Amino acid sequence: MYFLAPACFLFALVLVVVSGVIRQFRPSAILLISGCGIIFGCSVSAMLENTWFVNLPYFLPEGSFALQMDAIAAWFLLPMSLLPPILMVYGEGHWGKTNPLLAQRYRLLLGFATASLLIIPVAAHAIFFVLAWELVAIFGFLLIIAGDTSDKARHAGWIYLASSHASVMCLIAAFCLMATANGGGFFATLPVGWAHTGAGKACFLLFTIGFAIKSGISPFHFWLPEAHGIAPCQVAAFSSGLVVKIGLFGFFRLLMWVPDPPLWWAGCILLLGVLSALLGAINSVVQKDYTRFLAFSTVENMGVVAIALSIAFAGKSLNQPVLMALGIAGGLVHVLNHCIIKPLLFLTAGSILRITGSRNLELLGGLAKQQPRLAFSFFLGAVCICGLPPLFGFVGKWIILLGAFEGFTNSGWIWSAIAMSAVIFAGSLSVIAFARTFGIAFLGESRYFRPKKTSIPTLMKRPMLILVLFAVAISILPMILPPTLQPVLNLYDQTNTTMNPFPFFLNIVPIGQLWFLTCLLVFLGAFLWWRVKKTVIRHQPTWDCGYAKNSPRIQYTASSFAQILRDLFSVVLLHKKAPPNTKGVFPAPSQFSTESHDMMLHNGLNPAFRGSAGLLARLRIAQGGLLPIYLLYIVITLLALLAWTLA
Amino acid sequence: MLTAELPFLALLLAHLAVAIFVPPFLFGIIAKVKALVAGRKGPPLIQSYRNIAKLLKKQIVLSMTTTWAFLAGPIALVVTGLGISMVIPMGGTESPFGFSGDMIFVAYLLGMSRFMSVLASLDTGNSFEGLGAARDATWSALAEPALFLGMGAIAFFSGHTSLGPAFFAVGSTWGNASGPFILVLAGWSIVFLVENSRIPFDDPAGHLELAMVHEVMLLDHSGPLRAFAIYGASLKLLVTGTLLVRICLPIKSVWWLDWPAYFGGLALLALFIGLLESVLARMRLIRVPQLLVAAILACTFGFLLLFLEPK
Repeated sequence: MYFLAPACFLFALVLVVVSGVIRQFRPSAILLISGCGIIFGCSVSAMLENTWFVNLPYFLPEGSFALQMDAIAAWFLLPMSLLPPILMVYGEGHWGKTNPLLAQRYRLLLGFATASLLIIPVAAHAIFFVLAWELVAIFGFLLIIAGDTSDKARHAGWIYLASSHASVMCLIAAFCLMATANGGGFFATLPVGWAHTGAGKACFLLFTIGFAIKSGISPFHFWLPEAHGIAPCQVAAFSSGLVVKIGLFGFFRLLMWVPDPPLWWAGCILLLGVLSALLGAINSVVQKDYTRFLAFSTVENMGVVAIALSIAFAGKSLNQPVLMALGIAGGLVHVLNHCIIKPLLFLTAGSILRITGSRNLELLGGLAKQQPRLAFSFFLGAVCICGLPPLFGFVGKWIILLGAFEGFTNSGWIWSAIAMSAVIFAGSLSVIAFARTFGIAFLGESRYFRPKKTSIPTLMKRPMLILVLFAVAISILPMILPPTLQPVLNLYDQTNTTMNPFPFFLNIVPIGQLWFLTCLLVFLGAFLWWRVKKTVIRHQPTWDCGYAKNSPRIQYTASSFAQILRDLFSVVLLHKKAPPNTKGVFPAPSQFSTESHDMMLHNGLNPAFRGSAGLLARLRIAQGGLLPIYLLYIVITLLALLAWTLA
Repeated sequence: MLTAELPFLALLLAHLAVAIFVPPFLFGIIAKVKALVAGRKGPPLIQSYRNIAKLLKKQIVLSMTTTWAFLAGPIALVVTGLGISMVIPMGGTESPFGFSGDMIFVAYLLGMSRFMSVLASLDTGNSFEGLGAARDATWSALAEPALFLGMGAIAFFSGHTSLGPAFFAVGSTWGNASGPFILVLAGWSIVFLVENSRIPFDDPAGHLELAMVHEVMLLDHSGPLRAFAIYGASLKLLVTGTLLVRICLPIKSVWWLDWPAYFGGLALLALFIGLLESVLARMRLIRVPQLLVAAILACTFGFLLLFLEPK
């Protein structure tokens, strides 16, 4: 009976892979749904303390095919098994009729990417983990460039591929260092005190860079807006919703492995998190392209989770169980929030793109009247991802902020005041950003553009409906969160040998009282709505401020809405204005344009790479292009290593 | 949840009664003070009640451009205001629905009302309302860190993240840490003025000539919607004013002294706004962020000073 759960898991993985290979949509969808369903079941059963570990036969000389299912893996597997079928159906709805070949390619890549993604949380050996990680990067790259063969898309995919490999390189080095402490590649709790040695410090920094690149945490976020801003929306939903989470998962694992993290680790992660939350939020306010805006919002949310992680790390190093529990729980709830809501937003954005054919926010407007359901799902997503009550997004932010307050009031970690301010400020900026995007795209009148009469296929609508239902269900019953979080907290509690035990979760987070009050307010709002709705009698045009020639083009635009913030933060945004040339008595027709760039890519990486390109080009001498030469290098390296070991 | 002095139900009724009946009165005081300073007689104190009652009886004329978001804006303003009034401690030490972390709930309810009012303004398609919404949202966002650093200072001082016990601790030991709390009070006063769009941030008196923030967001609201918007704005004045009053009230005694002291504090606050609006003009727009940065700095210094003071 013990092998039943792992066998099911492996069987489900095979189903997922096979689902990608099959050509017809229906059987392939059924296979993917059943495979992911089985894995969903496996994770639920792992939540109920049915954890397992297997070490299967392996064909390579080094490494091991070891799988370990525990509560934290199960928490990440829940959304990872829920979303891929939804995205596959959406993709079929999007491409199935117009471009069957592309739809098929998408299914193939999605199946492979999902299978490799599902391995990561349960991998229990470093080499196996890195292999799966690498596969995710490659299939992710192929997915991003799948729909678009333009130069821009290829370039974005290229940046993604390069940064993914930088991340893998850091991870390989870090795992090698960790293997010296653990005596092998198997994941295990590190020896006490090792984190304070030189190797431990280097290992932490490498892990941080590797995981931060993968999850798009500043200053390593440069690839994310490029890739997710240009990829097909269902691919962006997959990458933003799931792939970036594996970097965060890495941090959660690291927190488990290290028994005594130094306090500066927490400070380091806090710094990255604050940078990411603020940069992401500020950038998201000024974007004109709504998919790019969603990508920057991902950067912001990853920053918020990183801040939660820093609180958890600080709790562990200061031996403050309440602080650590709040950090972990807040981070996990926010991860869940982002896993469900960001794909919902991206899928909605994909539907807007299908109807309007433009990614430019300035051309849109008035979509809520033509597509009320689309408007509702975007509205719901916006409220939830900004963490506003009454939806469950608030619960995550609330727990994180409770942790931040706990840090400086009772646990003696003063820096959590910075965590608090950053989460709050980023949150209020994202409220502006989402209000702006929703208001400009869905409300008012259509600006330049008359929507096509195309309707959205059912296969695209249903996936969004399922995500909306999930978000609403968790929001109505947030009480299901504490019992799901408890096994994860228990896991961290058990692996803590040097710490005081965690308090009971509901004692520190009074979720019931919050829920009660929120329910009262929602009912009050519904009642007032009903009353007001009855008294509407007449419809008239909007008051036009006395302007004689009314037109939708005089509406406030997205750029003007963001103008104050853009000018305030112009240093970070690299904002450029091309003013109109209206000199002289009879000026010629002229144009005014503004654009903002990502600071990290334009002022940091691009110049750095351009600068070093000339220098590195000299190394080309070593690249002969002939296979024997490369084999020769390997021989020389091996000989050198042999000489080193003998000496 | 139950307090020693007042049973829960009485506390709940008291909070509800204050939240429903007192706010328009504050507008009345402000208008009266401004009139008296200008040498006029001014409207009676209950004029705002009359306006609201009249508007509630009217019917609504809607713009053809609008959708559900337009109706939701004023409703959200009222609902979030009532929600805040349920967790904020008014006269006594406790609030009817206080829980640990309700400070955060208050801030996010303010965020929700801001989100909905921005949507309602953009929904009309009127560029004037969009402009007001952009300014309102931007400035409130910049004021938010100041609000939270002040709350952080109070939480650090008292060890509580629930407003009721936190303010109680502050009120009973003001003498120990008066310096930091004066700084927090200064910062919060600026936050208070900007959240309610009062002078020097916005002039609510002149409708279209001078008002550029809150008033312009209400151009298309009529009937009960306008009543909700006016009442919601006054409710916001009450709850944000309560924060200021509670941080100032130094002693805690029996309830029949505490509640009148609280009302006295609110009246003084309204008087203060009236005087301020009589002697000051609206600030130039580009200066506004500077004042908000001053608010953030004041609260930050207050917070940092607390680490030096004995607890």
